[in-house]
Amino acid sequence: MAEETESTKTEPLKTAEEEFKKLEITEEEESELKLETSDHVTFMVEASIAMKFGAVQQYLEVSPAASASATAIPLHNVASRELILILEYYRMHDWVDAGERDLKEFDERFLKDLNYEELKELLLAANYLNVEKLFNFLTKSIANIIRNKDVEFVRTFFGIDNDYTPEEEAAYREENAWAGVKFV
Amino acid sequence: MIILPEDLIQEILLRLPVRSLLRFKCVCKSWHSIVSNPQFAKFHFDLAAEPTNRLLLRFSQGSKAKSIDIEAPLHDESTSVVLNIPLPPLALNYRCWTRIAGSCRGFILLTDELLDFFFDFVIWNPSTGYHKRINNVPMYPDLCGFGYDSSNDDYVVVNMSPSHGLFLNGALHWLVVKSHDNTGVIVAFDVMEKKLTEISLPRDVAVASKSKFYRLRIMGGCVCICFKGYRTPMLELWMMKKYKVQSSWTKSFVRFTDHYHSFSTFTPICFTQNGEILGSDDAKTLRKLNDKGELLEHRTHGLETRRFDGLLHCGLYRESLLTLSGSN
Repeated sequence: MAEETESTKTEPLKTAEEEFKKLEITEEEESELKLETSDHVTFMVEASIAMKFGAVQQYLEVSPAASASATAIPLHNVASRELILILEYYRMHDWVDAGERDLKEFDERFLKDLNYEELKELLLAANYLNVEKLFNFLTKSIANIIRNKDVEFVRTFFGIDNDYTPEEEAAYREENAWAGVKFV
Repeated sequence: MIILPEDLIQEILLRLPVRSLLRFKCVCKSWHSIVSNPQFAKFHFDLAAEPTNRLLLRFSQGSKAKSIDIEAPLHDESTSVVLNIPLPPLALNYRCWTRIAGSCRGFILLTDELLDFFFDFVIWNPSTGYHKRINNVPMYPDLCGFGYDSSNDDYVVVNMSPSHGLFLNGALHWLVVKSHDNTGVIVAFDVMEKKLTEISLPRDVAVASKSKFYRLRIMGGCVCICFKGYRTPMLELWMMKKYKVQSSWTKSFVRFTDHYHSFSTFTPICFTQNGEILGSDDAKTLRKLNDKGELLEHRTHGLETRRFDGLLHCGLYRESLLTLSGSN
């Protein structure tokens, strides 16, 4: 009896150890790239994610040596707080176990945490990094914010000065009034 | 304040529906010129981030057409749902034979008889008011369809068959009956290759389809044949799920649950996003059914009653900002 309990005890320990070893190996295999943001913060990022960034791909094409972790790839137009958000987004969307509903919830929360200025900042960063999925998500989200808003809201949102004379503006509003386009 | 460069503004605008874009022309001059740019209109249509479908109803005697949002409740009269759109100038001041002869990429093809068999055509974008006239064409207006040749960015008006052709996958489609054996067949005219091909009907339908109750429809992006006999409580709906794949014809029934419908000749027009069926059962009445055949709502429009073929005269179109490029 005693012998038996002994052996059953050591069994799981052994597998856990093996599992741990395996994990270590996969972690070693998952190569990382060093990215440096405009405010000089360096990030070690999984290559599988970093290589989704068009700007990183392009940099590595020009200077392949940077794929060795020692050299940081500079991201001139991305600040660290934006890169943190971008990585959060891609880690979630890359996560194999994430279901459609998880992603939807994540996207909603992700948006809710951003104010309009941060949203535009992030769009600029996504554009610079050339990350398609996030770029589409952000442009679509901004479109959703403004789609039912009035012209004045849109001007404020984007910081646009009205360069029409009052007469011109009235004329354009008249032009589309028949189509039931409301100008609040 | 972060100011986005114009190329990013344009990317955002591409993802807005047509009606928001028309409103936002007033934001500033540069937005006006982005939204008015024909290339932008094309990108916007092709991206289809926010496609919105409307139904243009046959005209009253007046100079306006009624356009309704197919997704909205039929009784919703709000200004964003029901539009009264001024018609483009036609020759004869909107006499009752101004007809909808086709629909393609947000354009409606209107015909107006001048003299016997001489017609004015107007290619009209009801969303923007843009229109182009083709004057004095000698043809029979029933023999016509309107399609788009993507290889040349050309719009093609085809003169050939009864009832207006339906545009799908680069081809115009008509349901015709072969005179030698009285069987029905779908004729497809590829507007790019200028070639005619035939699509066979499912065998059960081929012989019966000479009956005028069979209708060709494009629904849910598929070629469909619908049939609703008088005094039968069922609508037969044949969908060709894969284009030109004969084995993909799928039959489904919509069984009407209310007594009234058994006696109507309901014909579907399209599916809404929720999978409801929008259709009409006489020259005036629109009905919405769910997929179980339950009547959700109906509405009789106070429109002119002259019948063309006993069905509501209407044109389904997706809102677009497109104009015709070049002079063809």
